[in-house]
Amino acid sequence: MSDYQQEIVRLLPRLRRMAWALARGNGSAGADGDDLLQRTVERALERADERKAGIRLDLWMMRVMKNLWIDEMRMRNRWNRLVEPMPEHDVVGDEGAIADGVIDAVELARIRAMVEELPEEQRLAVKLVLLGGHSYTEAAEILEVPEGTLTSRLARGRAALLQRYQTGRTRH
Amino acid sequence: MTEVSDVDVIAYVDGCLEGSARAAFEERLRSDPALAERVAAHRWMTSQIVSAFGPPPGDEIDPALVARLGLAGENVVPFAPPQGRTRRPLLALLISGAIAASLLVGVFVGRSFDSQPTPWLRSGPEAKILADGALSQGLSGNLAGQAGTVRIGMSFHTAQGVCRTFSTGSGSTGSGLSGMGCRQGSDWVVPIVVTGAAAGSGGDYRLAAGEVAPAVMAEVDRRIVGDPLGAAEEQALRQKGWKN
Repeated sequence: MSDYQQEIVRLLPRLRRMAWALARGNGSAGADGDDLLQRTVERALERADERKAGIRLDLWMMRVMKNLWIDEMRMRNRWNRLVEPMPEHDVVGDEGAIADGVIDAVELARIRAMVEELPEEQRLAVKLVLLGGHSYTEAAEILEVPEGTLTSRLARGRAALLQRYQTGRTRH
Repeated sequence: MTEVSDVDVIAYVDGCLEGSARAAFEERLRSDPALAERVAAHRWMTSQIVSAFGPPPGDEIDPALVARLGLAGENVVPFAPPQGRTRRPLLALLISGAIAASLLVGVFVGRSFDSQPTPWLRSGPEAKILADGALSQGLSGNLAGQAGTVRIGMSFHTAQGVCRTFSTGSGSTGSGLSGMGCRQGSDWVVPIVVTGAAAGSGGDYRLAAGEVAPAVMAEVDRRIVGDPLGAAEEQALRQKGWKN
């Protein structure tokens, strides 16, 4: 095993967590995260020479992963508009007579859907910080924006989630 | 008083306000009930978001994963898809870079998405939730205590027929299900089911193998008539297709 490969292997737990954080969403079980991790590693092996001198391998790979995921989401959204039916979570959420335990599961699915519906910039900030466990500084570095931009996107996203969640609750 | 920004509230909730900024925030918090309420609401929302996505993957890395990722050695390792599933066609197309802007491809992809089975549950008439696929088979075929993807906790009689508690392995969804199936005709109606994430309070909770969530136990208590069935009674009922 080359040094480069060994270095990537050491980064795998963090990379896998980030792939999970980005890809784990509504309707995506865990397979998307595995795919994203695999494609990130493939890219890092194929294009090692594209890494600029001075940039840490972990940060570079995380940016590669972020870019792959953004491209993929944009591609999917284009196709979804053509072929996919609208998500049905709102319909499920409005059925009142289900047992409490199911409502818990439905509620959690609804929260996941709300996160997925955030604008891309806010969604990435929320996912990296809350699910990926990245610090503000690291999340800003991955997204290649100043930290102030990251914190502002994060705050807007979380304020929107809170507001939507509370609005949804009062409907029941 | 000036309004405290969402950025500061969020930073405080995330434990990212430090030093004098934190001290000033906490000072303000003591005298500003509206701010305290915003902090509490965001704390709660944050915990909900974290639980909604279930526990993150752990740090242990399986050698098989390393091999699959082509990191195991000098030899070229073919990229096999992870066990039990194949790459979605859309991803395969993305990777080969061969996406053509054709509606035909779009329809094909859409179909393959639609045809992905929901692994455990489906909706039935009258807004009922029914066991599906492996869960339905497990409820019909497995005996209590047997190992497997669908583990049966116990079987018991109710006023409406036989019910069985079940739990599923966490699989690739990251959190298993725990619930109850009740025989109705040839279906298993699922009156209660909770996810591992829903069953616990924190984001890192996962149902252990064979564990039954407290909410499910409460539902058993509400419905059970007599004692849970023994192994012999269970086997006899299975032969009769779970009809009383």
